[in-house]
This record gives sequence, structure tokens and C-alpha cells, in this order.
Amino acid sequence: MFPMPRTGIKRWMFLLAGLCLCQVSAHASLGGAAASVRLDQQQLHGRLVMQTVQGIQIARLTTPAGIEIREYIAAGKVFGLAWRGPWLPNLRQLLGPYFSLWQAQAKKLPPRRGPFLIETHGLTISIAGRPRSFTGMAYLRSDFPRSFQARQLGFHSPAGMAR
Amino acid sequence: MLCTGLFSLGCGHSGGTSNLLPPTVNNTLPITVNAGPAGNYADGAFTSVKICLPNSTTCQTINGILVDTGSVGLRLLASAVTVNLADQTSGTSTVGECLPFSGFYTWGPVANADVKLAGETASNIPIQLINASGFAAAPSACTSQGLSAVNTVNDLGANGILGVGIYNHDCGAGCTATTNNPNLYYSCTSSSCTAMNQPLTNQVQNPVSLFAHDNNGVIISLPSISASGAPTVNGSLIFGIGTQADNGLGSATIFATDTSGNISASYQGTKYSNSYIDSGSNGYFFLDSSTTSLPACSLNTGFYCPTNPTTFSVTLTGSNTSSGNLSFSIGNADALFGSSDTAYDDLGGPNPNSFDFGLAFFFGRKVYTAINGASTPGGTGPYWAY
Repeated sequence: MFPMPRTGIKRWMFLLAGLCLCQVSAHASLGGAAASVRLDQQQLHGRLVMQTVQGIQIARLTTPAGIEIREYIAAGKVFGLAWRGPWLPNLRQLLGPYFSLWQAQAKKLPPRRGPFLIETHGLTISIAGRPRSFTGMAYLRSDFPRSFQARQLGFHSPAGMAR
Repeated sequence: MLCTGLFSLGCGHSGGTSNLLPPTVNNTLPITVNAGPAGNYADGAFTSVKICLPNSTTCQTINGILVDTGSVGLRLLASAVTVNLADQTSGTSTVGECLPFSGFYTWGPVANADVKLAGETASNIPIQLINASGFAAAPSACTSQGLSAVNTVNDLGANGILGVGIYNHDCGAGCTATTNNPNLYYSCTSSSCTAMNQPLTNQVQNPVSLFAHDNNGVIISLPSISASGAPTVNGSLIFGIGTQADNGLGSATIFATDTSGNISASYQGTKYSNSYIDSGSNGYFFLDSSTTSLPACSLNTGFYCPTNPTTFSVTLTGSNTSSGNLSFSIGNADALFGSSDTAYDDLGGPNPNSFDFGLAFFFGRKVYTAINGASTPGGTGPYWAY
């Protein structure tokens, strides 16, 4: 059998990965369509309030366990998430196809204790806190609206839009 | 008259000393900052705990336990436990727990034990056994948080976690009823688990708040170290605040925590309201490379690596409106980890959402952690003070 050229394998795998992302993102939030926040609401049994701040749609979701989630939408696409609460939300649901990318990268990190910040495949995710108080955010920097900055995602003041 | 150790019970009455003073028990547990039992830890404080079958003399001492003011309750790798503790049951099922931390979770059954720390005892309290053999797998609600399981001493870097934070219970009221339940506790058969309500008394609890004495909080006392680090550092975990001659508040500033258990840290005009002090984190975790101009490390992902040590100044504010300025320095983690040291007062890494003052902050200080609802000479907990 002919050995397949390396570049050929790479291109083929890249296409396959892209296909998977597109397929899954129809059902998931980060990177998904604006309407996907409704699915998150159902899955997380949350209360949902929509608002618009500086031209950016923010879906404000609160779970029964008291976790506040903010989903940021521009150009019809969820480009960022921020959350805060006593526990962690269902990130498998909220991150959609990016969940497994994060998991793969997290396994490669050296052991350490404390908050973390991981950047992989265009995804940036950070989690901080400890039992009974967590914060976190996840975003796709390449999907940021013009002049938007990551620090606008958080709950801190004055820059954060999530308060 | 000297009142010490075991002979002190009732001393206040028979010896004519003040009736206001509680009996003097040994309230000091030695702690050591070193590489831990797996040899892979930086800036971790470890101690030994003694556990016994409830109300018995069948006991075991386990070393290499991480001292964590960020969580509540004793959690032990099941593989390190040799005494035959009985699992907590719910009907015919066994009670399991999934507790998330930043980056990992612990999964395993809840069991009851007497927990003995220095001269103090918490009798028959629920603790967690991590990765118990034959126990059901973690349910999907646990794994869907995306955290890594810690199953071995290499995963955890310790044989267990001694959580001595600001709360009495590891979950609290949320876990007691169906309505707002975060689903930490599970009723498990040998093969599957279902989320359950867990009354407060059955939850994994802070051993300190269940001591007979010195039960309103803890102090971690560690000496100063040089900026280049230290191979090993000895200090103390002291039980009680203002309950004995050795645990007074002195001139410490009290920072009351808010309803989420946090304080605020302000840096260059921005207020990070979800900030916290946590001996279970390695270093100072704050901001990001673009805000701090601290480059990320090339070898040790997740830490800062400035060419030269860089000093930062923040203002801490408690919900009691007390505030204080804090200066700290961040060194190059690749260089620090390149030595045989394990203790660093200038280790730092990114965390864009808050300021986390980890063990690096504790060197050269006495850091007080007062438990929720507990009375202390500095007021009612919860608070941190230093």
C-alpha cells in the first residue's frame, strides 16, 4: 500500500475536524447560533433574560443552584461566556464542541493548584475559585466584535459588562 | 500552676485559674512546605492527620495531607486509608460525593471517622474517601463540569486535603433540598448513582468547627523566606482565634468576606470582587499577561516568567469596609522551579477573573481564617485577617 503523504493526512484530518465542529455547533452554545442559548436554558433549567449592552446581546441565565451565566452574542453567534456562582455550570453543554478541545489540552498541563487559563484552537478558558465560589469565562477571540476586549466579559468593575 | 496537655481538663476549676479560660489543649499542628508525598508540588503546605474508627483506639496517622483554607472537610485518597471506615448509607445505598475544585474534582464515598489534629478531636465526622475501589463511577453531572479526576497521589500531589476554610459544611443549605440542589451528593449502588438531598449533619464538615475547643477558626503561620526560594519551610497550623495565649489576633487587619466568601482586590482602578485568600493555591494568581506585562513561562505553562522580579500593589477591601494595601513580587517561575527549592514567596500565574492569594502570600505572616457564624475577639466570622 502506498504511504499517504503527511500533508495529505493533515489536510484530511483538518477537514474532518472542521466538519465535526460545524455539525455539533448547531446544538451548542459557544460558537453556536444565538438561538442555542434557548437550548442551554432548557438543559440547565435556568431563568433567561435577554439584554443588549453597547450593541452586544447578552443572554443572562441563572440556574436553580444560583450560578449566573452570561452568553455574549454578536453577528448572530455566541462568542463568549462568563459565569459566577457557588459551583460550576455544565460546561459540556455550554462549551459544545470546544469542551473536548479543552479537555485534551488540560490533560497536557503540569500538575498545579489554583486558577488556570488555557488557550487552544482559538478557545480561551479560565476558571478560578474553590468550593462554594467559582468564576470563569470562555471565549473565541477571533469572533470578538470590533474593538471588543476580553476583560469586558468578566463580572468585575468598571470594564465588565456582566454585572 | 501549669495547665498543659491532657492534664488540663478541669484545670480551670481545680487550679484556681480564671473560669473564663477554656482548658489548654495542644492546638498547634506542625506543617511543612515541601514537594509533598508525590515529590511534584510547589508551594504546598503539608501535615499529618490521625483518623480513628469512631469512638475507638483503632487509628492511623496519614502524612502528606495538603492544608487548604479554600475548602472545607477532610478528603483522603482511599488508597492511603488502612482503617476500615464504614461508608455513610442512605437506605440500602452508599452516599457518594463529587466536589469540584479549580481544575479538578474529588469523587468517592462519604465515611465517618474521629479526626485528631494536635490535641483536638472532631468525633465521628463525615469525611470523603477519594477513588475508593469498587465504588460506582462518577456520574455525568460530575464529569460534565469538565474538571480532571484526581485518583492517585501523583494526580493530587498529596495523600489528602485538610479543608479548614471559612464554612462549617462543604456544601451548605443548597444540598439539603431538591429545589436549588447543585447535586454534589449521590445515592449509589455498586454500579450507578442518583443525586440526593444531604442534611447538613451528614455533609462533609470542617473538623475545626466540630472541635470541643479552639473551634472558631485557624491560623497558618509561616516564616519569611528569601526571594530565591527555600527547599523546605516549617510552620504551624494553629487552631482557634483568641482562645488561647498562642492564637491572639494581635494587630491583624480583619477582612470580612461577602456572601460568596470573597473580598475585593483593586488594581489600577479596576475592582475584582471575587478575590480570595487560599493556602491550597500555589501562588499569586491574578490578571493576565496583557494587563500585567508579565510574560507566560515557556516551560511551566500557567505561571508568569518575568525577566526580573516585578512588584505589584493592590488594595484589599473586606465587606466590613476595612481595607489595606498589599505589595508583592512576582519572579520567574521557570527559574524558580529550576532549583531544588519547593517554597516560593514570588510565584505567580494568570487568572483574569479575580485575585487569588495562594500560599506564596502566606510566608512571613500569620493568616487568620474565621469560620462562618463563629464568635472571635475580632467579631463574628467569616473573615480573613493578617
